[in-house]
Amino acid sequence: MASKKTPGINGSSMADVSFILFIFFLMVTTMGTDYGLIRQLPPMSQDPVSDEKIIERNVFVVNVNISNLIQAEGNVIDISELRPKVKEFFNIASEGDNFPEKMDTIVDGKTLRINRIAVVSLQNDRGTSYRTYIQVQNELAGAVHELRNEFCRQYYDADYEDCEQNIQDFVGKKIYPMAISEAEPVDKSKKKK
Amino acid sequence: MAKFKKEVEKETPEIATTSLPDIIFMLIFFFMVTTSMRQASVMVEQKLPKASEVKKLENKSLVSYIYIGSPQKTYHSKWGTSTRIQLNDSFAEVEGIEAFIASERETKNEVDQSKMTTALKVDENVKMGQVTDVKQALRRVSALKISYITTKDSKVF
Repeated sequence: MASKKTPGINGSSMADVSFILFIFFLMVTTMGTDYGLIRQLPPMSQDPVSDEKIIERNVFVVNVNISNLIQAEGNVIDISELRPKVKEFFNIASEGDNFPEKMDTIVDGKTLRINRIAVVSLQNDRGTSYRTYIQVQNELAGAVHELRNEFCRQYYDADYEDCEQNIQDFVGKKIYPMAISEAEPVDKSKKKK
Repeated sequence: MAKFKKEVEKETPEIATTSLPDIIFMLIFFFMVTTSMRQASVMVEQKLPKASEVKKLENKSLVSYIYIGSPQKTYHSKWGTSTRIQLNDSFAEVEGIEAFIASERETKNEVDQSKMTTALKVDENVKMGQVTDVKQALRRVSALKISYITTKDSKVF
C-alpha cells in the first residue's frame, strides 16, 4: 500500500478570522473605568425626625441656592473656602462653643477627645446646578479625607488608605465619619405661595 | 571598470504569516480581559463634572446605570432639548426607575443584590431638581448605594 501524505491545511485565512473576532470585541466592549463619589442614601422613613434632639453647634449647615452661591453657617463663601471651614468644624482638636460637642473615648489605654456628634447638613435648591453640587460634595469628602489622613499619620505613621482594615474602620467610623446629611427635598418655589 | 555586482534577479522571500493569527489572538485576549461589555449606547449629552475624591467603581456587573442629560442632537426632533432620563436604551420618566431597579434586581442572585450600586451619570448642566427626584425614587425602592460618576481631576475649580 502506498502511503498517502495528508495535505497541509491552509492557514492563511486564520488571520482574517481572528481579525473579525478582534473587531467584534472592539465594538461591543468599553475600555474606560468609571470613577465616582460613592454615597449612601438614607432609607425612606415614615415618621419625620424630631428637631428637638439636634443641637445647633453639632451641625454645619451648607446651603447652595438657585444661582449656585454657597452659604456656610450663614455666610456666603467661595467654594475654595469651604474645605478649610469644614475641616475646622470636624477637627477633634478644635474646641469651643462653635464646634461640636466632644466626648472622651479610650483608645489603646489613652484618652482621646472626639466629636460626640458632628454632621454637615447639605441643602440645595431644585435649581442648583449639578456641577456645583458635585463640587460641594467633593469638598466635603475632601475635608474628611484630609482629616483622616492627618489623624492616621499622627497615630499610625501611615496614610489612611495604607492602614490596616480594622484601623480604617475605627478611624472612618468612630473618629471622622463621613457624616453628610441631606435635607429632605423642599420645593421653595411652591412654599412661598 | 570592474564589475562589482552581478545583476542577478533576486526573488524576495515571502513573509511568513503563520504567526499572524497568534498575534491577533493575543490582542483579542488582551481586550477581553481589560474591557467590559457595553451597557447601552448613551443618547443624552454627558459632560461629567470633575471631582478629586473619587473611588473606582468596582464590580461592573453589579452596577446599574442611570443617565440624565439633554438628548443628543440626533434625538432633538423627537425628544426635544429638555433634560431627560435614560434607562437602558430608551428615554424614561422618573416613574420608570422603580420598575427599572426591580428588573435589574431580578437578574442578580440574592447574595449580590445587597451589593448593587446605582451609578448616576449626570451631565453637569442638569438642575438638581431632577437629580433629587431620581434619588427619591431610588430611596423608595431601597436602592440606597449610589455613585455620582465624575471625571477624575485633581483641580476641581
